[in-house]
Amino acid sequence: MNVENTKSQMRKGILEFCILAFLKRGEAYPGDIIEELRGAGLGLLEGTLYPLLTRLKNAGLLSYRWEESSSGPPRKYYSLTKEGEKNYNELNESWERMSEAVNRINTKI
Amino acid sequence: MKEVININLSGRILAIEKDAADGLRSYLDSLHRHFNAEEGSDEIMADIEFRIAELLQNELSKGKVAVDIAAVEDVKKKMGLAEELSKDEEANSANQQTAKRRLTKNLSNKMIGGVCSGVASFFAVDITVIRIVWVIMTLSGGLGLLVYIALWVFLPESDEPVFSNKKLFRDMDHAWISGVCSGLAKYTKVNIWVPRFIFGLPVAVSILGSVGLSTISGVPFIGVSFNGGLILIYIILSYVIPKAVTNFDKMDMEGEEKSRREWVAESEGLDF
Repeated sequence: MNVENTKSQMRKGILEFCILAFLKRGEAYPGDIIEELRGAGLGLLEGTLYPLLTRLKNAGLLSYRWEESSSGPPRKYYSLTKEGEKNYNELNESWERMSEAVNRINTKI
Repeated sequence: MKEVININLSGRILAIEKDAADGLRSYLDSLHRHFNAEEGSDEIMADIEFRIAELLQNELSKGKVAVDIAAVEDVKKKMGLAEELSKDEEANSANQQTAKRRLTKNLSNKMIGGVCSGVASFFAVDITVIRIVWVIMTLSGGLGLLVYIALWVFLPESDEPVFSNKKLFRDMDHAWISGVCSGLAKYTKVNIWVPRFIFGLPVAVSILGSVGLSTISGVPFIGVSFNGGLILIYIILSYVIPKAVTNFDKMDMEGEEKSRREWVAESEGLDF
């Protein structure tokens, strides 16, 4: 086990949850998602975002539509599907339970 | 003086310096290879190219005449190099046990084009078994060759290590001729005399036949042709199946995967 691997695994699950959480607020295009995540302190390589979005879309959690842009060709705007919303709610519940548990255990040390 | 060219990237026309364009091209190629085995790779690449074009255009809108090397390097840092992305992916696939197995040409263990290797890891059987089936299919009518070429053309490439927990080897410790029968017996967990009987019987029959003990005219004829086929198969098998040389080979031949893994883990200090 090395710490980089563990960190990367932790981030992976959280990343998916954060994308769903951000899109729950409304549709967005990948550039917005990146900026939001970076702004929140969750830096990531953009190259990891696009495969993840495609995977979530193929799993039926996200859908997208094309929207004209003033600065170039049309952009993809992603939004949550019903399935995605259900998924988000489940993840949210388990996140709350987990973070509470982690905090409790962590502060006892 | 720097040469500037115009490129069309994802619907945007960008002025870019020649050396920066070369750098960008090889970066895109490396990403393309990286995502090639992934489902929806075309879509992922299109999204990434779109984003890169957008980032470069932003750069130009700040007043640069053309995209230069520094701008391309900046994009690479933001998007991530193929190596960095695959490091992330590894952690991910270790996490996702449900990752789909895909039929690919597996280049990590190829003899010709990696088709047998890919088929073997898809069905999780020993590659040697697939190779034998393929050789037999090819020799009996050539169907194997056609299927091979078709698969070689259409399957995507991958280089994951081949999955297999039990391997077919020639068992040199109990060999009479080249260990084929003994190896087959170990792999299929039957008594060593079963393959020996199958390969040996026609030989015995034809010897008896040629000596003239058999009075039925048909028997020696059948015996000889059958015998010729089996001898050919035996010779092919002794070429295709590798010898069990090391102790690891012998453990794999017996199917002792777990003990081998533990042993390796201990000796290398790894954690499975």
